[in-house]
Amino acid sequence: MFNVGVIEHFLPEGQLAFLKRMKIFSKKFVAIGIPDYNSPIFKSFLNYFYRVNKENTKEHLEINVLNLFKKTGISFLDKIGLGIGISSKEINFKDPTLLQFLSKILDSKDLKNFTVNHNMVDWLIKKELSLSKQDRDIFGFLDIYLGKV
Amino acid sequence: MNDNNFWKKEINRYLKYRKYKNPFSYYYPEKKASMGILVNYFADFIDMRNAKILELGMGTGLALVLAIKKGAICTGIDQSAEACKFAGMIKEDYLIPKEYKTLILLMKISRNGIQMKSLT
Repeated sequence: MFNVGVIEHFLPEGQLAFLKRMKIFSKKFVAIGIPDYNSPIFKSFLNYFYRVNKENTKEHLEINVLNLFKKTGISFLDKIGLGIGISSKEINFKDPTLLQFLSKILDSKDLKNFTVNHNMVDWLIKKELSLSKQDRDIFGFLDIYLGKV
Repeated sequence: MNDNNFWKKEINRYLKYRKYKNPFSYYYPEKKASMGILVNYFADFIDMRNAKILELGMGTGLALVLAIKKGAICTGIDQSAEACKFAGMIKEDYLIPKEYKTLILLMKISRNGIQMKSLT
């Protein structure tokens, strides 16, 4: 049983209730995907999103999945960072860490005119899987937590 | 923006690409890539053949469709009618008819999480 980008929209008591329900109904595994608030890619994308949509409501609430696992008796198995795709319009060009990382993965592609397009799905997958676990954890847009019931 | 308005806009964007063979790759290539990686990651831990997978808040339902391609039997739930409509389109676009019964879409219609409306 899994969800991605859902549970962080609940208040803390709702997050706990949600996990408790997941534990009741899941036979083996639960996986929770939440945005990585510290990821330079996520931060850059969020700034772009707020700029374009002219809204700045804090829809993503604080969440500690490991703590929720502990409180509900779900055993933590693994965590991965996921999602490194970003186009130039979403890039924060003032973030040197992000620029350094993107220069590394985009080969000779022009960062200022870079758009992820339909032909690049397999390329993106290959690029992401070639990264170290550490890079995926730091830069991945999402954090995926896997637990065993 | 409420959920239904958000998904209505996303459906309209997706519809522009439905004329192509692989519309999701045009609509949201980054998501296509990351959901592909996610489903492969799940496959490292579980045998996907006949595995029963439930996604709470499925949105487009793409992850479930990719899991079905690996042999899983999937159910997706979303509280937004428009998200369910979108997932229905992804189901039509990516599954062959004999796979249809392996994806069940449900819409949550009550806040207490008990009542469900079956869409398929």
